[in-house]
Amino acid sequence: MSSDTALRAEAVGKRFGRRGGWALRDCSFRLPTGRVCAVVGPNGAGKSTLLALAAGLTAPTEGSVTVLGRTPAAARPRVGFVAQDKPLYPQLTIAETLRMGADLNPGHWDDGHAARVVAGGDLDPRARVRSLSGGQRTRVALALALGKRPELLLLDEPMADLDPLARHELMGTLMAQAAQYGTTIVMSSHVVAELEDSCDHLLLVGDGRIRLAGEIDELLAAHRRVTGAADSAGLGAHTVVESRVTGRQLSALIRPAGPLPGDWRASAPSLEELVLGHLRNPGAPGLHEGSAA
Amino acid sequence: MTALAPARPATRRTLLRLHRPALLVWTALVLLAAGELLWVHYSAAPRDRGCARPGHWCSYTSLTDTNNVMNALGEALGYAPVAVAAWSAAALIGRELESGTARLAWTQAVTPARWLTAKLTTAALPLLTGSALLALAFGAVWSADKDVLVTHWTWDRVFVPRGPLLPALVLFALAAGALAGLVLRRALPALAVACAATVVLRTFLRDLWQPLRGPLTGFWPLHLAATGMVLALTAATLVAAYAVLRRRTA
Repeated sequence: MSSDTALRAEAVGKRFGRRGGWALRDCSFRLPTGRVCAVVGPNGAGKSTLLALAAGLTAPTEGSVTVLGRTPAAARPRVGFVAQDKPLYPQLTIAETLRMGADLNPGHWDDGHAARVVAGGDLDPRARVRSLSGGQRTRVALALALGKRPELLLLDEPMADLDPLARHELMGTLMAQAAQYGTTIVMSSHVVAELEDSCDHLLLVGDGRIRLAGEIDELLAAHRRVTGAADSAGLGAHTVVESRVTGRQLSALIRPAGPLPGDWRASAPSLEELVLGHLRNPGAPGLHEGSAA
Repeated sequence: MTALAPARPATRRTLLRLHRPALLVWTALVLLAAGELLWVHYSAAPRDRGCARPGHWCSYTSLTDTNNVMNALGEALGYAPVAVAAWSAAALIGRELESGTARLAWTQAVTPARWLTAKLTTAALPLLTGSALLALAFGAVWSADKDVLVTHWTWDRVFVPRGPLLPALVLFALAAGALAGLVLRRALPALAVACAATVVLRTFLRDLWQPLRGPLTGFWPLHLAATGMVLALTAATLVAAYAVLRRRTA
């Protein structure tokens, strides 16, 4: 498989328990290397399951996941992962936690880098993990993931318990990592605004399915927010994601199939409008590698 | 492309750092029990022989009565595997899965199977050394000082800790704890199940050698048969534990 693909899913499905519901179903997408990818979706959409599959923590019920051209298990030494609840050993000190990283990742551990991430938060390396606040734990968990110099970094809701300042600062650390080493970063969130400035690729997960997948610029360019008179026809030729009639005016989020009629006013949607439009209308056709012509 | 690291992760060092308190407690318990056995052999038993001579008498408290001490030691050693099962299920495996730290380990360069192997071997080494040492010491002291004890080898508290059956039971407890932890993924339920399984096996042993008494006679044939059975069960438990882990992870 080509080495320019960081993450590829082919018809992936994951069901918990033999009779449980599907957490993910029929997911196919391809994430090129070097991208900063946002995995967006409501709570319970399957974002964590998707990341756990990529990290090799669970096996898919059907389909296949390929990470850096290998199976998730074989790619383990080259992938960093921070789980949503930032698990760390509470009885260890920060220094001992980083030493664990060095012990468990022989040959590709960068002690200085991990120590710098910790130092950025003004943390005492001798402090025990159990004495840290949520945000401080996040920083240590990130230091552990960054210290192994991953080619692919998987972050599940990384910024959820950080204050705005720490969020900005850690996001800067991540972006520097991506820029300097070409690390592919995949981070999930249900707050779109959190990711808008830093991500260039989007995976929108809703109800266990991939609704949108691709470069954010291209996804935005493929959609138009249009308004016009409710009684004027003319949207039939286009893919309508969402439409709403207010009084005599109709506004809609569409994927134009060709030139728009002249009496419609069109504007570019924001990322948030795009995401919400698709999440509010699960029946609207998604846009991803499989569906794009 | 980065070359894959040829070096193997130093998982054992990490595990020793994590479970240092448990190692210290186990070492202290082994030393305490060994000290008691030495006291029985070198102090209490000779004293009792002296007291038994005509014209001599001694007074005891329940803590210095040789027979009491040996009985208590026999019971404690016989049920030590239950404590090992509790620790293995809750602290070694169950808590890691419950709190998610297992996932932390599995997303370093360590595969889940290698993580489990490192956990089991790192724990098995001190557990086997300590329990084998205590079984040897208990057997030696019991045989040497039988004359001052009210005892019989068929008694549970003598039969279990007097030979390799004790380390075998400890090993089973470790495996049962690991399996319960992996299946239930929570510390307390795993602890309960693993303790129950070990107590059941330990209790069942009492009855095991009854039917075997026909073909097998004497302590050693029965003891070794029981040891073999426990080891076979341990092997089956370990196979199940790895199967559960493999099914659950990629």
